[in-house]
Amino acid sequence: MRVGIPVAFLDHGKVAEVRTEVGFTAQDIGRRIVEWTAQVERADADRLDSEAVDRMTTD
Amino acid sequence: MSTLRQTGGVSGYPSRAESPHDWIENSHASTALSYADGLSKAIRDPGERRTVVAIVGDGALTGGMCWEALNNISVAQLPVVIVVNDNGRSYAPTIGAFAQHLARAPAAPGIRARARQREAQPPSGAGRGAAFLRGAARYEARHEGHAAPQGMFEDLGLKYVGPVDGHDVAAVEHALRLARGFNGPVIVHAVTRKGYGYPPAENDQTDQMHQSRGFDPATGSADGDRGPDLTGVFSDELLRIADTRDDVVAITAAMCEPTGLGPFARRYPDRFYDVGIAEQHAVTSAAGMATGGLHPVVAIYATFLNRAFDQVLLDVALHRLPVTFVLDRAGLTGDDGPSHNGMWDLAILGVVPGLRIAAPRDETTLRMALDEAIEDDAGPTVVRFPKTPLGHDLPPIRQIGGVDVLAEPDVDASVDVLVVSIGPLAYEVLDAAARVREAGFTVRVVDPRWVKPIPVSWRIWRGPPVWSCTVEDGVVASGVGARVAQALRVSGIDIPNS
Repeated sequence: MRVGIPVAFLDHGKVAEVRTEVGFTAQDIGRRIVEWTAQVERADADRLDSEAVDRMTTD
Repeated sequence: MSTLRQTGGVSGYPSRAESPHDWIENSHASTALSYADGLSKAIRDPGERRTVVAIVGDGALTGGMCWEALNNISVAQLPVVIVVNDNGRSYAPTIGAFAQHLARAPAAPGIRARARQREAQPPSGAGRGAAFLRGAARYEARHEGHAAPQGMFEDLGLKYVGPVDGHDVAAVEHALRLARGFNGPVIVHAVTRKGYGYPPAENDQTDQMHQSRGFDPATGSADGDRGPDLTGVFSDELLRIADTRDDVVAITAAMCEPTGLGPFARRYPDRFYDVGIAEQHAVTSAAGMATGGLHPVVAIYATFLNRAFDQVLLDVALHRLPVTFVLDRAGLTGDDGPSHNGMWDLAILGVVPGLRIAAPRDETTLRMALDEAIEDDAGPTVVRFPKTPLGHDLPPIRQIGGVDVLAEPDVDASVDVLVVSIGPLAYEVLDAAARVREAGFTVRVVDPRWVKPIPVSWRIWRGPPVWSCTVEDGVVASGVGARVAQALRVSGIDIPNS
């Protein structure tokens, strides 16, 4: 996963406020990593299930 | 004004959303005349006379774009009024031959009157100022009519009005009406004083409070102390290196103090070059110096290096010249708005062959990166960092393949998530990693310090971890994360990264 600044022209404000605006705080970064990891984990589980079903069907 | 440069408040620069008179919104200097050239061509209508007015500072006139624009404006002969706000400064006093040329203008009557007044009643402790005014008056008397700047402008096909006292509203209005009457390109030379009317600003020798933040209006004293920052660390380390290597020279584009080059300039004035607001020239001039055997350090805000991309790519990198670019204000800069955010550099410099980029996270790694960069004589290097208060050092727990490990689970535990942190974001990333751990995942946080080229041979990429994540204070597209993903694919390392 890539976490960075959105490709956009960002309005002026205090750095901390701009970071909050674009979801670039420690809290945001942590949440995004957890959500993404869980998402990939689910996708992997689904893929493994699908492959198991395919094998059973083929057998 | 109480909302200036604050979220939802007034912009520090022209903003079309704020005023119908703000036709452009940008803070990068020297662009106004090109906009005016284009606008005058777009609205050209024989049936209706419309005049385009552009205001440009004498500092901005040190930028090449202004001269490219004047070259075209003078040929087009369309009604463009160019007001030169000549206060003799950008941040610092304007340098170069053109500034000297403008300074030869015979003073406008109002300015002369004030000068005479000051000469008659010099303020206490200002003897040098009075001497300067007397000298200026003698020079004026000798050269009036011979060395005035109108000659140069008129040679370019531009009418010249002035100099006019830029603080005299009636005089400025008269000059503008006169200029509009020419129905062609005209220079209105308005002489002003930066900070005029507010003694704390007028008396601020560094930059006339150009960089003012919160301050007490009665005294001009800044609110609080910002404390040490990475700019100061760079300044100190460069001086240390310069003491041992006389081939190291420093270049600024009119921002000596803000980029931390002030101490260098004072100790080594013959090895310091302020080229004016001329980033393109700064880079190619550095290329010339490197060709001649020097090691130039070009200190510049990250956002301003955007202007010299072609010079970095072809004049420096193609020639594999040892030039070190030190990019201050990298990442989000906040209150200066969209044009000042230093968030593009990692993406655009990522495509420059042979260019190495360091993103130090703290004082120790900045000193190391600068030493390594200036030690590198094989090609160009970049050291980039943001303008943030100096945090405590983040020493690595250990290194894997030359990459700093900042946090990891117990040695025997497997790693679920590898987080690659770039620069001083490490403080936030370590905080974020703690949150990821709380969610039940094991995390390793690493900092490569050098982000280009991507160290594909990192042993850290082999085997566990299961997932990887990059965190960078640059645009997410085409940045370090994108290069990591590409490097992993090319190396056949199967770690989900995007």
